[in-house]
Amino acid sequence: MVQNEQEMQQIIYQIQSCEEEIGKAIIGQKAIIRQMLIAILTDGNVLLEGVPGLGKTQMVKAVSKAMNLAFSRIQFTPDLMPADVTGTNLIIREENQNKFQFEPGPVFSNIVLADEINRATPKTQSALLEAMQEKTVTVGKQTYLLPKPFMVLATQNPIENEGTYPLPEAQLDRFLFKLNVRFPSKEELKEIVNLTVNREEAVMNPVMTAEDILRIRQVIYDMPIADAVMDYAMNLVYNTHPEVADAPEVTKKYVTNGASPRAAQAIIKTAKARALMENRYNVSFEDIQYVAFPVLRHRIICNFEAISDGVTPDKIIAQLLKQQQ
Amino acid sequence: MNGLDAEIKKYVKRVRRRLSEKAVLQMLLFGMLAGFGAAVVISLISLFVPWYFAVQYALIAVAAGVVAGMVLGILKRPDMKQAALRLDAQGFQERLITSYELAGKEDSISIIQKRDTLARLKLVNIRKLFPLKPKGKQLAMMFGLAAVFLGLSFVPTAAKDRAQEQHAIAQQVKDEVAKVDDAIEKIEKMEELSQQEKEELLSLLQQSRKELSDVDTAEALEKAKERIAVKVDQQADQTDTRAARQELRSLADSMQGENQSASKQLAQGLQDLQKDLENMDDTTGDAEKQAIADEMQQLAEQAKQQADQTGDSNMQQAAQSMQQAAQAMRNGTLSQQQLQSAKQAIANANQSAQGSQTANNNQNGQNGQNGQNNQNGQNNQNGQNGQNNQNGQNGQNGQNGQNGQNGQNGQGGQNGQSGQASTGNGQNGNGQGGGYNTGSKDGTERTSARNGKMITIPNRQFQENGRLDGKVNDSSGSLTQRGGEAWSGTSIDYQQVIGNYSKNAYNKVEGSNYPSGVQDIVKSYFKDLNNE
Repeated sequence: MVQNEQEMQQIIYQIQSCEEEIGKAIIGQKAIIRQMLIAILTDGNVLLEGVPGLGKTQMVKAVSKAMNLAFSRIQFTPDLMPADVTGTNLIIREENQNKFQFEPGPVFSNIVLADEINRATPKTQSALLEAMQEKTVTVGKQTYLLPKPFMVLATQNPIENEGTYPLPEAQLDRFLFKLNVRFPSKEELKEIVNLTVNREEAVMNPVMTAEDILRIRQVIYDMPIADAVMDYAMNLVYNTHPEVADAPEVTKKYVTNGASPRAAQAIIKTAKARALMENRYNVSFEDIQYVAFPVLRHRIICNFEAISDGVTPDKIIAQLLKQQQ
Repeated sequence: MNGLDAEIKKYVKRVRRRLSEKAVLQMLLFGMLAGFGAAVVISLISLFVPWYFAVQYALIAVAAGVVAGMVLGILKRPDMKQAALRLDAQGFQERLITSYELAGKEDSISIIQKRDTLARLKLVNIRKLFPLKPKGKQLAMMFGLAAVFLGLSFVPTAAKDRAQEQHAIAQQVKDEVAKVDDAIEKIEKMEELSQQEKEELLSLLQQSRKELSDVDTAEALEKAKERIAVKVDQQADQTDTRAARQELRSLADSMQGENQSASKQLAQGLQDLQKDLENMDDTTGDAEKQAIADEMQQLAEQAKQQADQTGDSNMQQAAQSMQQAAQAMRNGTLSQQQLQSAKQAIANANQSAQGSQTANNNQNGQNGQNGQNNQNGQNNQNGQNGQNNQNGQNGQNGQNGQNGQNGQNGQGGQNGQSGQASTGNGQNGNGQGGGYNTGSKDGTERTSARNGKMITIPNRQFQENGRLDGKVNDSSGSLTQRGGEAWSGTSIDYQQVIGNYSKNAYNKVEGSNYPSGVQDIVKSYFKDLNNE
C-alpha cells in the first residue's frame, strides 16, 4: 500500500509514461490504448473488434513491451484444438523411463493475444474460459497457475461471419472491455505509413514491471468512491434491464438482456483506474461515463427492433447516461 | 474527527450556507415573478370586469409570491451532501463529496484524497463560484411586470368605476342589513310581545333583510329602503307595544335617513304618544307612565322647537300643554281633565306638524325639483283635507278625532285601508275620496257590480294596451240579469276584472317614477280589492 502522496504521484507517473511509450509505436488510438491499460491494471480481459490491418496485434505487442511482460499470440482457426492453447502432456523418455511431461501452451504468458477468436470452435474458445476467469489451466488431473499478471486480448473481425463461431453471451461477459478499434484518421494514417514504411521501427523501453502492475492494482482497489457516484453506476447498470418496472423507455424497447452484476463490478473498478490515470484519488461521475461504453456495450443484448432501427448498444448507453444527468 | 475532516466539513458548511442564501433569493425572485405575473393578470381582468378588490388581491398575490418563494427557498436548502455535490459539479469532480464521506477514515489513500481536496478548495472562492446576484433577465422581467402592474392599476376604466359603485352599494347594504339585524335581535329579546306579534314582526324584518340583501344597484337600494321604511312604519302603526313600536320607528327613520323630515318624525311621535295615552289605564305601571311622560316631554320640546321655527302659535300652545301634562304625569297628579286636554293638545300639535310637513312637500312639488315629492305633496294635501273635513265634522268627539287621525294616515301606504275603515263607519267618504281621487270612482263601479253580482263590458272593447275601454255607468245596451244590470257583451267575473285592473295598475306603477312608498300604497289598495 502506498504511504504518501509522493508514492501515489510516482504510480501515476508510471502509468502516464506507459501510455506515452505505447504511443510511440501506435499512432492514434489513444482511447484504445488507455482502455487497454485500464483493463490490464484492473485484471481484466479485452475483446478488440475491428477490421484487419488496424494494428491490433501491434498494439498488444507494444503494451507488452512497455510493461515488460511476456507476450504470446494465438491465431485462432477452425482446426485449432484446446491443447494448442493450454498445452499438453507429452510422453518423454528420461533415464530409460517413459513419463508424461506437461508442455505449457501459449496461454502461459502475461499477455495472450487471441487473434480472431471467433474463428475457432466453441470447444477451443472454451479452453480460454478457465484461463480468463480463474487464471489457471487444468490439463488432465493437474491444474497449473498462470503467471501474474495475466490477461487475454482477443480480437474479432466484425465483417466476416462465414465460418465463424460467434462468442456466446456467457463468454462475452468474461471480457472486461469490448473495444471498437476504429479506422485511423487521414493524418494518423499518414503517420502510420511514415512510421512503418519510411522509417525504422520505433524503439520502445519498458517503463513498468509485472510487480508494478500488481502494486498499482492494489492502489486502484483502495481508491475511494462516494455513495452518490456508486449509486450512479448502479442505476446505470440497473437501467439496462428491460424487465424492471421503472426501466427507461429505450431499454424496454430495444434491449433483450441487460448487463450482469459483473458489469457493475467492472464499471466501478475500471472507473477507479481511470480516476488514477486522471491524477485523481477519487472516482467521479465522469469516470463512470467514460468506462460505461466499453464495459456495457457487449453486455447489453439488443433485440431485433434495435437492429432494424439501427440502434446500437452504444446509442442505448448514451441515452441512459443522458437520462441520468 | 481529525483536522482534515473538520476543515472539509467547514468548507461544506460554507458552501451549504451560500447555496441556501442563493436558493432563498432565487425562489424569492421566482415567487415575485409569479406574484407580479398574477397581479398583472388580476389588473387586466379588473380593466374589463368590475372588481373592487382587484388591487388588494393583486398585492396579496405579490405578497403570497414573496412568502411562497421564501418558504420554498428555505425548504429547498441543500443538505451537506447536496452542497458538497453542488461544489463538485463546479469542476471538483466529486472530490468534496468523497472527502466528506471519508470523514473518520485514516488510511493513507483517504488522507491523500482529503489533502488533495483541501488543496484545491483553498484555490476556490465560494462567493465567486456561487454568486447571489440574480440573473439580469429574470430581474428585468420582474421589474417589467411590476411596472406593468403599477401602470394598469392607475388606468381608469368604466369597470373600475362600476366596481367602486358596487362596493359602495354593498357597503350600504351591509350597514342597512346590520340595522335590520339589530332590530331583529332587539325584537327577539322583547318579552312584552306575544309570540304571534313577535313572529309577525320578525317575519317582516326577515323579509326586509332579504330584500336588502338582494339589491345590487343604488336605485334598487333606495327603493328597497323606502319600501321597508313604509312597511315598518305601517307595522309600527299597528303595534300596540311601545318598545316594539319605537324600535320599528327607529328602523324606519334610519331607512329613510335624510328623507325623514323633522315634522314627520314629530307627527309620528305624536301619533305614537296618542296611542300610548289611549292605551293607558289603571293597570299601567309607574315605570310605564314615567316612560310616557318622558316621551311626552321630549315631543313637547321638539314641538316647541318646530313652533319657534315656524311661528306656529297652535304648536306653541300644544307644546306648553304637553309639557304641563308630562310634568303632572311625572308627579302623579295628572287629572282626567288634564289628560283629555293633553290629548287634544297632542292632536292639535299633530295636525300642525302634518300641515307643516304637507307644506314642505307641496313646496317640493311646486318647485319641480322632485316629481315624486310633488306627487307625495298632492296626496298629502288631499289626505290632510280629508282629515280636516273629518275633524270639522266630528268636532269635539275624541274618538272621531282619532278616526280623523286615521284619515290623515292616508298619506302613507295604509291610507287606503284607513280610508276604507272610514267608509265602513258611514262617513261621507271625504277622507277616502280625498286620499285617492281614483278611489271614489272605482268605489262606485264596485258598488254597482256588487249590487248586480255581475260586471260586463259594453261591446267588449279593449284598447291595444289591454285596458278596458268603456264608460263607467254607461247603461246603453245594458241587460238586467239576476236582479242586477247586465250589458250586451260577454260577461266577465268580478275577480277577473279586478285582477285586470290590478295587473294594469301594478305594471303602471312599477314602470313609473313614483316613490316605492306610493307604489306600495297603490299595490296595497288593489290587493285589498282582490281580497274583498
